[in-house]
Amino acid sequence: MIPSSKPIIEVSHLSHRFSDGSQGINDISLKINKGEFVVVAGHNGSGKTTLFRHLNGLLTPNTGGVKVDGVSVSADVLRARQLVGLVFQDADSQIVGETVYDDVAFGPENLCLTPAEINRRVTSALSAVGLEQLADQRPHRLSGGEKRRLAIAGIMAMEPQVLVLDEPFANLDYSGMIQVLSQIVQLHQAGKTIILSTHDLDKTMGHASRLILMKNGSIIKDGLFEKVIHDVGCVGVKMPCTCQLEAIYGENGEW
Amino acid sequence: MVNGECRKGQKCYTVREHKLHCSILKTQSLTAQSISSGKMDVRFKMACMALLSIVVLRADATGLIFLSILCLVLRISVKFPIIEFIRHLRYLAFLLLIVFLTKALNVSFFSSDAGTLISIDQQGAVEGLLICWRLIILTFLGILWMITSSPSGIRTAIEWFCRPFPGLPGKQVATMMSLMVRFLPVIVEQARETVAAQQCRCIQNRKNPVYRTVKFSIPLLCRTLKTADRLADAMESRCYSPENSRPLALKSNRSDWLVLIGITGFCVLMISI
Repeated sequence: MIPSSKPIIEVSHLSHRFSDGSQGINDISLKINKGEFVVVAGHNGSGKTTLFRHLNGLLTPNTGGVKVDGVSVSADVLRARQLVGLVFQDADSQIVGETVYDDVAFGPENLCLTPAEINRRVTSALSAVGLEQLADQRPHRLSGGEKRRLAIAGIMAMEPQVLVLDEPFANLDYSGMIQVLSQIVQLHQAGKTIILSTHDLDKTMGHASRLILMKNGSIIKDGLFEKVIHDVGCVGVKMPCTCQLEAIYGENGEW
Repeated sequence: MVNGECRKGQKCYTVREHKLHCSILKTQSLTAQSISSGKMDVRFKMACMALLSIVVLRADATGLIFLSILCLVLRISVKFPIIEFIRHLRYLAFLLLIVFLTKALNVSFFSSDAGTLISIDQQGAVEGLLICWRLIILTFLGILWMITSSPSGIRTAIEWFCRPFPGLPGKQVATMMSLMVRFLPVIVEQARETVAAQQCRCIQNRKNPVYRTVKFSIPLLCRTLKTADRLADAMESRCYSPENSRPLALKSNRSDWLVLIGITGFCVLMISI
């Protein structure tokens, strides 16, 4: 998927201070183009989740603002939530339906769509994540990977342009991680803009085009994934093994 | 077939009783077919269950026999395993035992005869048995209703029943109920985890139940409130608003009406006999 030059998300001088006085994010400005695959990395408490919540309109900024597809989030929150789907770190607290089908239908129902359209979207989202066989299953009986895929399906059914995933690989075993990663890659290939946060950059290497490093609520590096990856140590994130080997043996694999 | 045996092997002694039995069996069979097909409108199912519950509370021994036959027919048609029902009933068994003992036993603290402080009251025992019987039938009907209705169907039906009442926020009530169904297993799981984590740190060595209760309930409450907070955010991010009107996908057909009329007739007969 080749990213277009048109920005779908524009963040300008965004700052957020929590009610207890602590600074969440501080003067963040960035543009994300349609079709980009962006990884946001940083230590715990660096402001990744706070930034993501602003993209979806869950938080209101103290200063600055966010525009989604040219329209300010604060001017039309519903539109922003429809265009930017947010998948939370804890899938368990995101799943609200009593069955897999009901959970995926929750978003489209809130958009007041017709029953036929809701059914079409739910069926399509469930088949896209490979959960169509589990449509009548109770969500708490699903595995960790299936729950994460269900959370993604719930967002996909709202047909957003941008998918924001907060730590999508957290608490997943290897097979669960592979399922979720392949899902994300497929969505990117289908033309969706992907923004995800992770501590484990190994998994997104080769897929992501851009890497943003955050520290103490500010962006300290933003650029091509292959270039910025060498600076991840300064934000307390582990460098991918391939990069470490490259640093030891050189680019050609020689001492 | 007067003065003989009608279907299901019941003895009928007069024309009136024979007709009564036949009409009851016909109603039972029709209800069973509709419920077992799983296509019965949840609203009609709820109305039938409400009517039957009223009748169960008023029924005497004869009425309870007919209601038990209805339950048996429903059990067979729904293919609900009796072992599963007994498993569900084990939670209720203690309550039933207390109810029976409360009714059946006479305790006299100031008895002149020193040997008979506790005696069994025969009439009380019969009353206790009838109450237990009623409770078992009510539980059975409740379980049957739950297993033959989808949670979304129940939610939608509740929303529909709340609509005529202007002050009652039907959508919020239905959403609350569906969230309760969804999050009860999560809270139970969190409670289990909290207990296990505290056992790992030898909480069992503390004999004070108040201390143990406080140490268990406060972390669980905090976790539950945090989960509720995250849930509210997740719902908001998926455009949830109490003002949104959701389309109610409910559809009734002729057989639903027939079952409702049949059950109403059955209930009228039960009250009249």
